[in-house]
Amino acid sequence: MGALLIKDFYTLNKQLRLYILILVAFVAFNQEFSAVFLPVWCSMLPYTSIAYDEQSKWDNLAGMMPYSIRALVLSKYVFGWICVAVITLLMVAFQMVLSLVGPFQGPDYASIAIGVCIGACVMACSLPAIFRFGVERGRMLMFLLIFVVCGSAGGIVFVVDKIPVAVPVLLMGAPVLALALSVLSVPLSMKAYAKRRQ
Amino acid sequence: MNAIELSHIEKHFTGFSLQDLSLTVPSGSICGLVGENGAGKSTTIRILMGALRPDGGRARVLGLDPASPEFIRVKEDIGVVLDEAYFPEILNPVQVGKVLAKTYRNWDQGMYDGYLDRFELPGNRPFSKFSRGMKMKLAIAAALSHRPKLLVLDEATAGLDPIVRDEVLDIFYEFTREEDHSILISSHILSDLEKLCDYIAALHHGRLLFCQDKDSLLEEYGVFVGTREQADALVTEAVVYRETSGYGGVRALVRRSMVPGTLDLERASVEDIILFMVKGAK
Repeated sequence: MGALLIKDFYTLNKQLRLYILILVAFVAFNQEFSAVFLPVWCSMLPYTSIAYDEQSKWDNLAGMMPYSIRALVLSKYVFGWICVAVITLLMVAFQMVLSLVGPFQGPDYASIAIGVCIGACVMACSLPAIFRFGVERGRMLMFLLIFVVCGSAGGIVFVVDKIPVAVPVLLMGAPVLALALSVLSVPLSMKAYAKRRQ
Repeated sequence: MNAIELSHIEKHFTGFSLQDLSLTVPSGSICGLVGENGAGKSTTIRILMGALRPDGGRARVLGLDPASPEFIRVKEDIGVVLDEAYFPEILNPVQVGKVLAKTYRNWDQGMYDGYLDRFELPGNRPFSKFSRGMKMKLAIAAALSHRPKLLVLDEATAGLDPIVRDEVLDIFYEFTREEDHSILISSHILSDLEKLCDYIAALHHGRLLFCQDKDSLLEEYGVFVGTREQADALVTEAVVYRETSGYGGVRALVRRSMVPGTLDLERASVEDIILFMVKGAK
């Protein structure tokens, strides 16, 4: 799987650099929004990677190489998780630096944790469809998910404002939900990918 | 030991079926797989690489069933070159090498660098800026640098100019100098196959027309060129297919053993044999 991760990082090298620039801009303008937006946005990098694979018909060759279906599928999840983790760490570090040098508040760890969990949920919900139907046809589901995520974010803010006790419940529940969805999603994606290859 | 054994393989798609395909590639030999577009060559290759499961029949490649989970280890010993390179075009040859070094346990970086030098491929130029010939050379370098025992080449020489093609065929010759190295090559360029192969397998509409060693194939058949009367005098079983040439003459692929020795026959090329057989099968 290491080879597949290296390939994905090489493929998206330029985009990843652009993400870091965007991170700096977002954090400087709106820390609260970026805390949720950046991890969720990063969770979509596996689709870009799959789109590049489809463009070059990489799967035709990968199917002939010593990669298992499990490695081919799991590598996209791991790639997404690594990207979310790295961008989150960079965001926290940048927010800390800003809070030391200017009139900025420090990192809002609760919002960041929720953002990371939402990112993981987005990946878990959408990747099986992308593996089954490809990026082009799976895009509709992506739009639907983005719509649901934006709607849910508004709802969560409303609930948290009204019921303060909802915050710890949310903080406990979100990682459990993200983990559960991911555990279900990986085998589902493997089945979808195997079926598509036949 | 056989490098490849396919026995009564069946695979059905909507509008196309691979039917009752049986062929054997002995270890140490080069087998050419020929057939028109859509004849089933790539499907056959995908089945023997485990990328496609057959609906019926039995396959063994380097002694193992490609559908078995253990086959992933066998893939380490197989170099594959397809009709395109299929690496993400944003990568450069150095990056391709780094990815493949993590893919194959037998990866030989020195050998890969040697091929890059020999093919004059710039290590840091993105793959997207390469000509087709350069892309195919990179794919060949990648396929050979993990020291495979079997090379599977699917239209690997298609679209290459004659000079590059000749260079590439030389490399395939070099590869088969090792006793246990085998090649399965599918190609439309029949002259290449005639030059390179020990065995020829011809597919037509998903069925195997023949799989035979090249020398016996060339010995068995000849091309008759004569008058209609001379052709009519031949026994029916001797004629594989006949066609009228200009001015009422006849050109036919015939079995030499069934034709009177007094009749002069032209040497049949692999291309003649396949073209006549395909026309005969229609």
